[in-house]
Order: sequence, then structure tokens, then C-alpha cells
Amino acid sequence: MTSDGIPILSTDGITKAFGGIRAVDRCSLAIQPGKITGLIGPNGAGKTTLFNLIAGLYAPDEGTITLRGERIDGRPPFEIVQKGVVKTFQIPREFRNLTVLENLMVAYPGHPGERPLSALIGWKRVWDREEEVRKKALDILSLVELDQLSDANASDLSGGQKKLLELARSLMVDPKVILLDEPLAGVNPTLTGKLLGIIEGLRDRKSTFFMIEHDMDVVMNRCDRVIAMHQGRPIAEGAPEEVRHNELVMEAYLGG
Amino acid sequence: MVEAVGIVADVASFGALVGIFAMLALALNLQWGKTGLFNAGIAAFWGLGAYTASMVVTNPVPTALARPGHWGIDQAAFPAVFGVSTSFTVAIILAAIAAGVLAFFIAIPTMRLRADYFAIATLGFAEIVMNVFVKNLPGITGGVEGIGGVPQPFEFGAEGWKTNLSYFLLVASVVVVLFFLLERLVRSPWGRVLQAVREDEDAAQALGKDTFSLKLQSFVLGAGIMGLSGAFFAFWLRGVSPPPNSFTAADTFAVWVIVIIGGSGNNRGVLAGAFVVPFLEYFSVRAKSWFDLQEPLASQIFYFRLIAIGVVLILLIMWRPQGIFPEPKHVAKRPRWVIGR
Amino acid sequence: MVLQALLNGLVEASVIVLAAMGLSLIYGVKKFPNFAHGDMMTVGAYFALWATSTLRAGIVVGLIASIIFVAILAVVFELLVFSRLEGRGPVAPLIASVGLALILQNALRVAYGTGQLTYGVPLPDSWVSGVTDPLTGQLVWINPLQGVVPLVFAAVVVALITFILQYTKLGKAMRATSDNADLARVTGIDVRLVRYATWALSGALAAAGGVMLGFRVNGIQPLLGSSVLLLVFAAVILGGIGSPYGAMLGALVISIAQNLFFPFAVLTDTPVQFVLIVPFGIMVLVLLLRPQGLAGRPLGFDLPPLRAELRKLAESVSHSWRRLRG
Repeated sequence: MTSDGIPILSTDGITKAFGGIRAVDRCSLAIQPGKITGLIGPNGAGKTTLFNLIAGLYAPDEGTITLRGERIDGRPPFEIVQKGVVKTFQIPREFRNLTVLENLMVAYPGHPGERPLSALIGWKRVWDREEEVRKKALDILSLVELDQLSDANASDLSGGQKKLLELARSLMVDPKVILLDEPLAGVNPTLTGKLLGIIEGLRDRKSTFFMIEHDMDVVMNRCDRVIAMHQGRPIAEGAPEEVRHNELVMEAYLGG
Repeated sequence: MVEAVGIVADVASFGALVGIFAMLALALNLQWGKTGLFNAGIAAFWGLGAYTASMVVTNPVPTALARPGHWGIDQAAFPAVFGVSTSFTVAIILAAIAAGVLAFFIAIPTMRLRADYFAIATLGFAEIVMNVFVKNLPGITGGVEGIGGVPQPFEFGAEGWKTNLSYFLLVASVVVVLFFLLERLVRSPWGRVLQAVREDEDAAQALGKDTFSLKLQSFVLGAGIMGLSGAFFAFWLRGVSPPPNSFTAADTFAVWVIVIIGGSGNNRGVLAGAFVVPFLEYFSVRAKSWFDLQEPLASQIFYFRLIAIGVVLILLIMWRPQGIFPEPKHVAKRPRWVIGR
Repeated sequence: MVLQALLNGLVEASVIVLAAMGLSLIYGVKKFPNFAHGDMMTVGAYFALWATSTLRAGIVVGLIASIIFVAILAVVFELLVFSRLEGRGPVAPLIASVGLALILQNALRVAYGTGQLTYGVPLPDSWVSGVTDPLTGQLVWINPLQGVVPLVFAAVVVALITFILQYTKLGKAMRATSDNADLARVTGIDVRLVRYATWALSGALAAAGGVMLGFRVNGIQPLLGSSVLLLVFAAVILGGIGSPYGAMLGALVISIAQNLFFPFAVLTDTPVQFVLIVPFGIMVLVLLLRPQGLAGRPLGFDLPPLRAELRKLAESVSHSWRRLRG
């Protein structure tokens, strides 16, 4: 398999088994920085499990995960986020009773006001930081065009708006790598275009995306690279055109 | 005149008990209302605070024949400031710390559990702490006899109404201070992130929040306040005694009733709710003379009180789970005064 | 005392298992811990007493009447309260069950006072075996009423419940609902009916357990059932929540461990009241190490994961203090 340059994120022989079934099986792959990498594969190929392993929701049974030369496998999810890898949920998990703005503000990392003692004393610098956080959140909200809804309860958003909120919230942590689990599933065509536009805009500003996607048009036209998974490990990797014509990939999709 | 003085003493004593339960309810409101922690072991934190405070403000009593002794501190060691022994301040602080430390150690194994398992585990811990250890360590806790002769900070001898009134004012001011501190906390970014943890712990974790620490902070702080309340309860009762007299699961769920009636997540609401339980308590004590009740009703009224609590709990959870005062929107708000440049 | 402790543990397990299976059925189908289960047992114990005196019949009639009564009572609870809390997660019905527990317990205190009552069945002499206990040198004994009756009765009931769960249409529907209620509904199971049936069965088991507990301790009082609730929870959690077979195993382990504590306490001069630590300690360990319980997995704790878990635990203790300060 070809790779061009030093990967930002790589997995080396990671395995995760659930009750004897290896959902991810000796999986090794590498993600290039500043690119949108698509992850495709038939149902049950282990894509979501792989994401959960990278995000730290499970610890791999074997193998290592490396972010810019630093091992992150086995670390708790919050530490992995702090190191710069953030994952969005396939089904949006908004904080229902917080406003849209608060959903973003709460995602800001390392807020001094989230320490009880600082919050209680109420240092001026805490509340100055709070102002910065608010500004940053509003900037991101206008980027995803949700700024009109900033004071609405998150539970009142439509399904597509929740997808936008999910992406916007993950941007608050200034991630180096963003794992998107089917960001376009159940989103109408207009919003799909908008979401992809935002993602590409961020990619052009050096953000790295790793995205599970089923819509082949999107994968072929919008992703810079594609990795195909089958039975827990990658079977093909490269430019979209290459992967599309790979025999193993066609077999995996057709043969089930 | 004599009657008026009696009423003042009575109302002040009732008011102090309301304040003591208000502290418990504010603490549970932080743990459950804000953070979603189903603490079913309130009795243990409350009880540990009460026992700790009682030991600090009484002299040690050695175990004698047929009378279990208890630990204590020689009261001569505490200087008096403006005529009030400093032992009370020490007692209150130590009570809060003891309960907080207990919560810390209970939290380590249980904090990861789902709400229903967490409830069972904390209930079990409370049972072990109060029914197994506290009750069966004569020489330390006074065993089944508990600790008697606990003084109050302000004693006016024969003028009982002054004693009661001053104690009520003390408790009331502590509740007011606690209320404002807790309001400040829930309106801070800390309160906001706790609410995020309550709404969706996985999502909070996926955004880089150390949810274990956040829940631990809320649980330990809440338990500390429960210990504080325990200290004030011990002074109020002028003693402590182990289950089944005090610190039982029924006490734990009485606090739950307060929070559910008042509206979980609403500190003002739970302050209002805090009147309910002491009122039922007082009513069941006084009803006998007010209505000239005959036996067996006179003693059964205590059980009717608990039945009433059970009925209210079920009706509320079915028809008004948000309580009388629903949770307000707690937008993090810069307080009027901040410290620093 | 080792042999005696084992035998006592077995007898105690037979009482606990009745309660634990009932609790576990509800936990499986309704997905919440029923804090009123202990008090449903107490109601069963008192109703048997009431029925025997009112009907002037033997205790067997009282037992049957009580089983029927508590089963109906449990169905009424579902009808009036718990069916209306469906879909609200485990906490709402949990709180309602606490309310119910307070009502039942105190209604009994109003009706019967707090004193100890008995069924009036004369306590027969204990049967003394020819076997000597190696620890104490005393002969092993068992009381027919306090020991043999609960043991035999529980064996019959357990066999019956196993049969119902394994071979009847109702049992299969209950297991399916417990696994996945939505899926069960789609496959044509009347989930609502299954819930009522589960309550009835759980109530019947509670009543049976309550009466047997009354025999075992030879007396009934308003805290009879709630005093063993923690023990029952421990058995259910050890066995894996919602798994009635696991509950049997859990009841055995908990009861025997608890009874083995007594000789240990005598040898080490520990106050016997500390016995409650045993079931609770086991329960906390299981919650920590195996939240899914023992059932459905190879029995016994396999060592490597256990070591890893203990290491993780030690790590979390050392980190927690630092993290407390945020």
C-alpha cells in the first residue's frame, strides 16, 4: 500500500474481539494530514468499532494507535480528545436542555471555570475566558450557519441541524483529526452540500478528516483518499479511483 | 406571655429542623438535580457528620459496665471566643470533611455505575456504615446508645426560647450562605459542564470532559454539605443515636421527597420543599395533643406520616416529575463581583 | 461449624433464592430494581397469618392464599403505577418503588403494630444427624420447620419456575421480552400481558419467600422482608441482573459465604454483626469487576482480566485524589 508523507494518525495491528468475534482484526492503516480520508466497507466490516478504538471508547486487545508519533491506545477518551482526536456520533448526541450556544461553549477544552474552586471564587480571568469562549462559539456557529438559533434549546433543532451542531461542537476543541461517523446519513441534499462545503473549507485550512460514509458519490468526488475495510481490516487504500476499481473491494461488496 | 415564649421556642426549633433538611436537599440537588447521581446513601453522610461533630464537642466517655462509651475531645482544649467554644467551628468543619472523605472512598468503586446500580451500591454502603460499623463499635461511637449530652453553641439556660431562636438564626444564615454559593456554582461553567454530564455522559466524554472527576467533585462536595447538615442536626437533637432511631433509609428518602417535590435542579424549589418533611414530623408529634388523639391512633400517626411520604413520592413521579418548581435555565452568568484583575 | 455453616447457608439460600428470582424477573422485564420487593415479602408473610386465622385453616392454606393475594397485588401495582412509568428509564420506577415500600411497610405497622408475631405452628425438635462437624466436634443438626420446610419448598418452586421459563409459551415470551422488548413486540408477543404475568409471578415468589422467611426466623415483623433486601440484591447482582438462573447461583454463593463468616468471626473475635459486610462486599466486587454478573460467562473469575481490573482499580485510587481537584 502506498503512502505519501508522514501520517498524522496510524494504527498498527489493532484487534478488538467481542465474545470471540474479531470486530477489528489486526488492522493497520495510516491517515495523512490535511486530507479527507473516506472509510468504506460493507456492514459489519468493523468501521464504527475502529472509530471507537481510536477515540478511546474501547481499548484494543492488541496493537497500537499513534497520533503524531505518540501512542494514544488505552488512554481514556477525554485524554485522547485533549490530544486532538475528536469523534462525532452517528446519531447526534446533543445536550438536550442546553442551548445551541451552550452546547458549543461546554465543549471548550480546559476552561478554568470548570474547576469547582475557580468557579466558586469567580476569578476575573475565569469570566474573561468565558467571554472568549462565547466569541469562539459564536464564530463557529456562524460558520455552520446556526447563529440564528444560538439561544434555542438543542432539543428543538431538526435532525439535519443537529448534525451541524454535532460537527460545530467538535470544532470547539480545535481538533487535529476529526472522526466523522456517517455525518451525512439522514441529511437532505441541500444540507449535505453545505456540510461538505464546511468540511472541505476546514480541510483547506489544514484540518484532517477521517469519515465513514456510505454514499459512493460523496466518497468518490469529495474524499482525497479512501480506505476500504472488510472483516475487520483494510483491504484497499489509495485514491478514490484506485479503490473503486480494486477487485477485492468489489468482491467484498458483492460477495457480502 | 409564657405561652408566646413557648411558641417562639417551638417555631424556632421547627425552623432549625427545616434548615437542616434544606442543607441536605441543596446537597442532593447538586448531586442528583445537577449531576444525575442517584445517591441513596444520604443517611450515612448525614450520620457520619453528626457523629463526628458530637465527638468533637463532647468529652470522651470510657466504656463502663453496661454503658458503651464513645470518643471525644477534652473540651478544655478549645478556647472560647465571645463566650462560644471554638469546638463548634472545628466540629462543623470536621463533620463536612469526614463525610466528604467517606464519599470519596465510596465513589471510587461506584462512580462508573449506571444510576440504578449506583443507587443500590450507595444504599448498601450507607447500611454498612451506619448499621454495621457505627452501631457495633462501642467505645468509639457509643454503640447502640449513641452519644448524649451534646451542647448547642448558644446556651441561655432557663430561657429556652433564646437558645432555640439563636440556633435557628445560625442555621438559617448557614442555609442562606450555602444557597448563594451553590447558585453561584451552578451558574458557572462548572455547573454547565455538570449538566452536560447529566444529560449525556458519553457525549461529554467524547468532547474531552473528564466525567469521572466532575462527578466525583459533585458527589464529594454534596456529601460534605450533608456532613455539615449532620453536625447541625446533632446539636439540634443534643445527641445522636444509631439506626433504627436516626440515620435510616427513611431519612434518605425523605430528602428525596423534598427534592422531587421542590423540583430537582431548582435550588429555590427545594428550599420550599424542605418545609414538607419537618412539617410532617412536627405534625405527627403535635397532632396527639392538638386533636386529642387516643391510642392506638396516637402512635400510629408516625406511620401515617411515612405512608404520606410514600404516596406523595408516587403521585409526583407519575404526574409531576419535574416537581412544583421546574428546573430554571441556568445560563452561566458572570456574577456581580469577581476577584482579580 | 464448617459443615453446619454450609447446611445453614443452603437453607438460607433457599429463602433468598425465592426472593431473588422474583426480583430478577422484574429487573429483567421491567428494567428497574424494585425496592418494594422486600416489603412485598413482608406483606406475604402477614397475609398468610391473616388468612390462617380468618379462615381457621392450616398454614398451607395460608401460604397458598398469600401467594395468590400478593400476585394480584403486584398486578395492581403494575396497573396503577408502573405501567404508566414505562419508557421513562430506570429511575422513575425506582423512586416509585421506594414510595411503595414506605407505604407497604408502614401500613403493616398500622395494622399489626411493630411486635413480633408467629404463625402459631409449634417449633418441632431439631433433627440431629450422626455426622460430627470437624471444627466444633458437635453433631450437625437441622430443624424440620426452620430448615427442611424452606429447603424442600424452595426446591419445588425453583423446579416449577425453571419449567415455566424454559418450556411454556409464557416463559419463552418473558425471556424474549427481557432480552429485547421491541423485538418481542414485533414478533407478535403481547408485551403488556407478559409484564402483568411477570409481576404476578414476582409477587407470588415474594409471598412464598416471605412466608418461608417467617418460618426460618420463626416470627414475622414489619421489617422482615426489607431486612434481607440488600442480601437479595447482592444475590441478583452476583447472578447477573435479569437472569433468574443466575439469581439461584447468586443466592447460594451469598448465603453460604455469609454463613461461613460466623465460624470465622468466632475464630477471629470479630463482632458477628459485621456479617452484612460479606454479601455487600461480594456485591461491590461484582459490580466493579463484572457488571454483567456471573451468568452467561464461564463460571469463576478467570485470573488475567481480574488482575487487570485490580490494577486498574489501584490506578484509579491513586489518580482520583489528583482528579478531585480538577
